[in-house]
Formats: sequence, structure tokens, C-alpha cells
Amino acid sequence: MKAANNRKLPQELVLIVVTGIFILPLYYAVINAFKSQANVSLHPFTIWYDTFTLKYISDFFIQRQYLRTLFYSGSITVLAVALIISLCSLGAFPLANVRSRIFRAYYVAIVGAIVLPFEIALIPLVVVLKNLHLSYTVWGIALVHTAWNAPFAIFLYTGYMRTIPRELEEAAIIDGCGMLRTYYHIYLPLIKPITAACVIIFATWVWNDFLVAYVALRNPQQLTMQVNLYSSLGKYLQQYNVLFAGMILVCFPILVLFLFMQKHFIKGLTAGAIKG
Amino acid sequence: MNSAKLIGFEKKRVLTGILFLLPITLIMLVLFIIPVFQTFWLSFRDWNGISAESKFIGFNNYFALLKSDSIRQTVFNTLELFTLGTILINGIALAAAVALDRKGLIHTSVYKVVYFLPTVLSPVVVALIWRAMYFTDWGVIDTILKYVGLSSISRVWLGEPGVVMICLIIAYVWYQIGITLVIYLAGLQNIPVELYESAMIDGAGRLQQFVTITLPLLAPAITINVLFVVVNALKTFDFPFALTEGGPEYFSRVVTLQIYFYAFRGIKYGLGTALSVVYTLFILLLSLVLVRTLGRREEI
Repeated sequence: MKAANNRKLPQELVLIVVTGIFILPLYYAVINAFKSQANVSLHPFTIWYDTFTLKYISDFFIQRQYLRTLFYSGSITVLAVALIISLCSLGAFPLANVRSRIFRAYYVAIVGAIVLPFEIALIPLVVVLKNLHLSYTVWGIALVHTAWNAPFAIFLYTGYMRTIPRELEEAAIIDGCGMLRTYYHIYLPLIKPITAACVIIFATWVWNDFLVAYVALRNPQQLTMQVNLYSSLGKYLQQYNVLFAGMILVCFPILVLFLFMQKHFIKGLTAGAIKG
Repeated sequence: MNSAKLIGFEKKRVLTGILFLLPITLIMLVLFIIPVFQTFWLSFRDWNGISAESKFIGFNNYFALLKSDSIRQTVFNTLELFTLGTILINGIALAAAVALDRKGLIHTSVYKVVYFLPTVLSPVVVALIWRAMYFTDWGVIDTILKYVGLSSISRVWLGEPGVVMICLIIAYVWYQIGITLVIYLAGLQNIPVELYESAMIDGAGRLQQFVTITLPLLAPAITINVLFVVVNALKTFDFPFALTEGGPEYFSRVVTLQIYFYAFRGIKYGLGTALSVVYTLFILLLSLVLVRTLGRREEI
């Protein structure tokens, strides 16, 4: 290990250079959101000396009705995450704790369902949503997200609940606790770490989704942020700096969430991955 | 408790458990399970998408699919995306994880966040950034090529059939590498340092240590990462759609996009459902094979 320590400086330099190249696309997008289009083509990589402006941020904000899309994306995300967290942790409880052939088979089916792509249900789903009067609604989108994220959520919750000692549940049974009370009073507080991970993972996925909202929410008054950003492409192709500004606005809420909950995100995904 | 009571108790627990699973299962039933089975059913029928009537036509949709012009290119693109993606993402992430897993480094956690950052961004945002990277003339790639005097190799990066998939895969690797890297790092940090120390005492070199200690002990992480990348690449839609919309023509169209095009542009429900069925079976089979082969390697 001593030998490795002596070599660490050149290694660190190589890492810094490689990381710099890696981060270049992000640097480029952020830096150019605050420049005029002429400056974007003339000096794409320079930091603003006297050209800094918030004009393009406000352009996108007003022209593309940012607040309205924020509201729709926000409602869908909050609703979907609340449904995923509550219903999947409840469903995972018997899968982790009750020994029965039914639950073993159910669990196997759930793990298999994780790999299925949403597109395979696309054609019938559009008809199903129409028949349920759910297309063009926040509830429709949120429920589709709930259904398609449920297998992974149940998988994560079941894996985590299995690490909780069985004695706890047995003690609760002896004390006369029913299953619902055991779940609510004993398990819910204990599974907080995986709930935190699920909140950030599924909030990111639902927030970032494009396809579900694109096929089900075509009402121009109700665009999610991602659909709105994508449909801005045609209008601002010659003013890409406005698009860069739009990207910053679209990413901002989820980046704030990520920076606060970064540890849970990474821990949750790696824990789920390694246990699986 | 006598055994009859105990059996009654267990039965009650199973029944309560079924009640616990009921709400989420109902949602999945209506919006996931039934639509998937409808896809299977529709793939054997002639249906115009509007009327309730449809006619059984056996495997005709599947035969029509084989004869379609774009399908060969689409399948090839998908294979290219997930094989090259898997190899590149895992290879680069493993190398980067080994480089980052050193006690002497000052900012390991900073690097971790930086490489993880793109994974959090939405596919649309990443695709729009890479569109700007690949723009002709004022795009980032062309600007850099101009600086170093290589403008001659510049081209319409996302507009040439032979180039577009490579460009898409490079952007995809950049986008998706973070999570793989983080999982490898977690795996590396689980390997006890003593193993390397005793190997060093025995005179094992760097490469030998990597092959005899790191790789075998990293097997679970490798299994998960390969599975993760393969499944994600096979499921991806938003990113290729927002980057190229499958263009030029169908030269960067992957299967998921093709299903979408059959459904919404051209309205070919028969072909769309048949392709969905074939694709589902392919993904399930491939995951099963991967779990079996990688899992077996783990036990050795």
C-alpha cells in the first residue's frame, strides 16, 4: 500500500483530466444557458466575462409556462410516489413474513416482471385508459407509473424486510398485535431507510419519464415538464441557449432532491442490487 | 397451542397477507397484467384499433413482421446497443472503480457524485445536450475538431446511417455509467485489504492480484451490473427517441421505438403487438440465461 501512496499524485492528475472531459457536456449546457446565441457559437467554452444574463431563463419560464408544467409534473410525481410507497410496502409485508406457496410464487412473478418494458403494453393500454376515463388525467398517468414501478418497489421492500429479525414479529404476535398493527407500528419505522431510497428513486424515474406522459397526456394544456421541454425543441432550434436554460429549469427540482438525499439514492440502489 | 389451532392461525395469516397484497395487485392487474395479455391475444388477430371486432388470423402478423423492411435494421440496432453498451459500460466502469478505490485519493466521494450526476438527469435533457454536442459546425465535437485541426473528419454525426448508432451508444454510455460505477465501488470496498496484503507478501503483482482476488470476489457485482445494463438497454425508449427519433429513416430505431411507431405512426397494431410478444419472450429468455450462467460462475 505504501508503494501505491507514492504514486497517488500523477494518478490524481489523470483522474482530474478524465473527470474534466466527462463533465464537459454538463459544463457546456450550464455555461451557455446564460449567454446569447451569438456567443454560444463564437465562444462555446468560455465563462461569461460581461455577457452573463438571466434573460433566457426568464424567456423559457414565461414562454413555456414553466409554473403550469411544474404543477402537473409535481402532482403526478407526488401522487405516484405516495401510491408506490404505501401500497408496495404493505404488499411486501406478507411476501417477507408469511410462509406460503402463494407468496413464493407471487414473489417469483414480481421479480420476472421487473425486466418487462412498458412498450409491450402500449397498444392495449391506450384503450384501457380511455375506457376507464383516465387518459388526459393526472390520476391516469400516476396509476400507470404505480403499476409499472410496483415490481421493483416490492422487490426492494421485500429484500429489506427479510433482513429484519423474525423475533420482532413473533414478539408482536405474542403481545396480541395483529398483522396490520405489526406492519404499521413496528415495521414502518424500521424500514425508513429503504422508504427514503424508494422516494428518491421513484420520484426521479416518474419525474424524468417522457413516454407515459407523451402517449397519455397529449392535451396541450396539460404538459409534463419533459414533454414540454421536448416539444420546445422545434421552436428553439435556432436559440439553443433558451433550451439550455429550459434544461436547467427542468432539472432543478430533482437535483435539489438528489443533493439532499444523494446517500439514500446510491445506498438504496446498491443495497437492492447486491442483495438481489 | 395444538396443531389444529396452529394451522388455523397460519391460514388466517395467509388470508390477511392476500388482503395486504390486494390493492397494489389490482392496480397492476388493470394497467400491467391485463394489457400484456391483451397484447398476446391481439397479436393473433386482425384489429383496426377502434372497433370492438377483431378476426383471428393465426400467425399472419408474425409473418408480416418478418417481411417488414425496417425490422432487420431495428433488431440489429437493438443488439448493437445492448451488447456494445454492456461491454463498454462495464469495462469502463470497472476500470474507473479500480482507479477510484484507493486510500490515497483526496476526493473519492466528489468523483462519485460527478460520475453519478448524469444518471439523475432526465433522458430528454441528456438527449438534448448530446444533440448540441453533435451539431454540425457549432456543436462541441466539431468545435474541438476545429481547434485541433481535424475538421476533415467532421460530418453530420446524427444524420449518417453508419455513424448514428455509434454516436448514440457513446452518449448512452456517458449517461448510464454512473450507477454501474457506484455498484463496482461498493463491491470493491467489501473486499478485505488483508487479502491484497498477503498476496503482496507472496509476491503477486498488480495484474495477478486483480485476476485472482478482485475479479472473483467482485462476481456478485458483475452479475448485477451486467443484468442491470442489459435490461436497461433493452427497455430504453425516451433517450433514443429524444436524441434521433430513430432517424435518419430507421437507422437508429431500436425495437422499443419500432413498437411505438407501429402503434402511433402508421397504425399497424398487428405488427406492433407481434413485435411486442417476440420482444417480451426474448427479454425473459435472455435474463434467465444471464442469471443462470453468471450465477453459476459466482459459485465457483
